[in-house]
Amino acid sequence: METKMTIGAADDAALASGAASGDERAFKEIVSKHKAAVYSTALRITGSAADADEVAQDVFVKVYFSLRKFEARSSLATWIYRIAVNAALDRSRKNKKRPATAGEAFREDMVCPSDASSPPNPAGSAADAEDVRRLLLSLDEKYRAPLVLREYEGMKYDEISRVLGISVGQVKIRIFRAREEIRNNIGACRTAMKDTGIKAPQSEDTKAKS
Amino acid sequence: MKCEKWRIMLSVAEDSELDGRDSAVLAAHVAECRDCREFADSLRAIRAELSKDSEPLAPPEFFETRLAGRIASEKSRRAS
Repeated sequence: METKMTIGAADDAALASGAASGDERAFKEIVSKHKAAVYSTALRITGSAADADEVAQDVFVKVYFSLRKFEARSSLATWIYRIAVNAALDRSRKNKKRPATAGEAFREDMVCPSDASSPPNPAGSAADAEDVRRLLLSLDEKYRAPLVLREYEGMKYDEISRVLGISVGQVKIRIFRAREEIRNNIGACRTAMKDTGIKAPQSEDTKAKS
Repeated sequence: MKCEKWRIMLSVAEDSELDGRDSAVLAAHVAECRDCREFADSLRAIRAELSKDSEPLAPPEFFETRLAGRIASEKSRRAS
């Protein structure tokens, strides 16, 4: 998977320099180039389209007024991702939307995928996406951010390490913990459903086959 | 936890971030360890689950227009 924001793009430095000097077209190009990555990262961290929109707006307002401080020690994309992740995590904390803390057992509002071993729907339905976002929200935020950057932004570990300001070793461990937590949460969910006699929701694929 | 070192390596390998030497050592362990083979299967299942949310996402309409308004307001606020 390619990184969505093309970290390290050479023309970013020129754009940043232009925008910092007041070139509105350069700033518009920065927004156009990075808005989808900022929005999608914020959506998967906050779990809410409305929050993601507000966070993305906040991010680019901050970028606009901070470009003069951008020293190009990291790429523009890394810098913007860093602002976006921090803003999304702040929003997530304020909302306290997480359905469960790390390691908590199944709760009724937690997603219980129909069958994690089944092949994904190639097109991906809106219901599938909602389920996945609830799974992501069930993660401790320190695990959620690196997993989102890896799985959806296609970043390599060293890029994630620069965005989050942690070591590559910590990135490895946090992504592992995120996957382990998802695995445990799905397992706890299925056990709870089995105990209560509730059937897990069937995916459209499964329904079609049955 | 049993085999945690190997499980971390399996997660890293899923991301194609394991070097060749470690990959060979990991493969040798996994060939002998049923728990790790099961963990590798579950990792792939989790990634398949996460990939169900793979549609490209874009901010709502008029994102840039609203942003321009926000920036103009902020400029006024800072100037006053």
